Amino acid sequence: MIGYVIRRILLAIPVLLGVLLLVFAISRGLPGDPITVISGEFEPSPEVRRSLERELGLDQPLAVQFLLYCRRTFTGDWGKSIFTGESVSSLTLHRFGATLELAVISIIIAATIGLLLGYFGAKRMGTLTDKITRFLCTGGFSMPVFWWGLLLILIFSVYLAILPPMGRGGIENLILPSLTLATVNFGMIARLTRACMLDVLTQDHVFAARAKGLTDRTVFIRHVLRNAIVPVFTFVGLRLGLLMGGAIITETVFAYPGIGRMIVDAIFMRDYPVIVGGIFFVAAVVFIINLLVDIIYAGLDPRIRFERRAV
Amino acid sequence: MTFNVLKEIMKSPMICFALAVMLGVFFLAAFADFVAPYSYHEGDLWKMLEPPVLEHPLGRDQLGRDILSRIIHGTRPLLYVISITLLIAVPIGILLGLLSGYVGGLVDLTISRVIDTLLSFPTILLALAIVATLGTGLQNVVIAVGIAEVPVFARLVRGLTLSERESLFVEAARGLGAGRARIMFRHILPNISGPIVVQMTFGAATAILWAAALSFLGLGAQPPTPCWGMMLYETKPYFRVAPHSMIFPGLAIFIVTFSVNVIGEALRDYIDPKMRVR
Repeated sequence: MIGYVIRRILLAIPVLLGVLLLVFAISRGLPGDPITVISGEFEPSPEVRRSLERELGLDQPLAVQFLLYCRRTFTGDWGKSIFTGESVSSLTLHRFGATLELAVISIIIAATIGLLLGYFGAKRMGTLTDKITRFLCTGGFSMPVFWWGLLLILIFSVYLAILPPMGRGGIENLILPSLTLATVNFGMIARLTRACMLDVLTQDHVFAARAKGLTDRTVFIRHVLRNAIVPVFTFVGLRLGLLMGGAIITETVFAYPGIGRMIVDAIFMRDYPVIVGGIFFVAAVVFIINLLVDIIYAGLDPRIRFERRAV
Repeated sequence: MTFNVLKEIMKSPMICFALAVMLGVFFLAAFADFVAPYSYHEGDLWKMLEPPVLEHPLGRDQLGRDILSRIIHGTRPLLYVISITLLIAVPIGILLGLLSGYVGGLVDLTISRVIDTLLSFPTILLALAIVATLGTGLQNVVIAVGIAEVPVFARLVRGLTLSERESLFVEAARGLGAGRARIMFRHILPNISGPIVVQMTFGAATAILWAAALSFLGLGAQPPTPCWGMMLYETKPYFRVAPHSMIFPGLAIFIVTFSVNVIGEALRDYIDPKMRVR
């Protein structure tokens, strides 16, 4: 196991470097150079421009600039927002808290609904229950998030007036956004649960359990669900990671001050340090969650450790 | 065989519905100018946000334009989004996946790390960053979504290639002296094309949703292009007073995405009978 963990971490290092490189490339690729952005409407004199370039390290070769960028990233010096002057690292962390809250609650809802639907879909395979389940799941992941969010606002905030349409505060602010996010995620979880359970159902140990005379209920819960749930947990973990940045649209619809909303606002205001810091932070979180999920998966299912050693 | 497929399809009302929707989309896109009752870019400002009436069954938008006509014309940007996204994502994804899976070694290690890197970014964030770099507009949105879908295809093709690499027919081809390129494209690719086609349908569905989402953020087409996501973006400020202006374009996106996904699932069930509902 320790060998596997070490190998997995070693393989992750180039990915982290790739993330850094890509974010660095994005920061260079964004239209307009930083000096013009900093100086605003005033055209800086050549001397000012040169001194600014030296200060920001822009006179160095690209490779050196990249190394400087890496150092700044790891020392937590992510610059300041051009507009508010706030430190990007503290702004990002603050916003991240809001997104984490939303993502965790919505994934719990989605996993609960998804597991239940998947379980009954597999147990009553081919019946009307199964068909309705499939319909609901496909409907869920075909849903345009922004439209669904607006519809929920329309129903619960405008017509029924029982839930606040936007902002962050108490638990009531979280209900609509987390329901919106859960709707687009439960379908995949349910489909995977169903598929994994059907896979396990055909295995010998299930026949053995049946032959022993165990009840249907015990067979399904003890033998099938427990074996099928490992890949489902992995998937839920990965979805949670992707929700960190993937909640952008939901956060926009509900004016929820999360990290995705922060990045979108920054893109519209061309607040480069915030864009770059935010994108890197999200990618880093996804990266760490993926790594953890892989390692936990290998811990739960020892077969994984020996598969594809070369990869 | 064809007959059996048809019989299978007819048994499922959901698949019939999905196929009808897609045929409808193609028909409307081809004949939008004749089918649409009104112009998609000229409206009556005095009647802006008018709720549905008999002459305008889906009502009017914020500039008094007929929403039904705009939705009908919107099938064109929709097909544009699907086709260009797939034209970008599929060939690049297949090439990377085949190289990585078949050649192996350092090539595989490099390509796999690149795929892992790209997959560390939530797709919408990756697409957003690309649009921020390229500039707004439907064309750049489509390019961004296309690039963002590349790693999905690359990873799928790599996995499929790995499982076919050691099979007998590949060994036979190698024994007959076929080169790497020939084996990859003439022998492996046709044998793994089924799952790729399935992924293409799901890729099309996600492309619709992501392109609409980017349009909804205001990064998409320029007015007066009747793109569905864009229509939602434009009418969002008025959705409390005129919900119809927001409901119908979104419903159109939902129905089409749903249909594409249903077709994709039907294809997958057909290829992999284990998943079929018996």
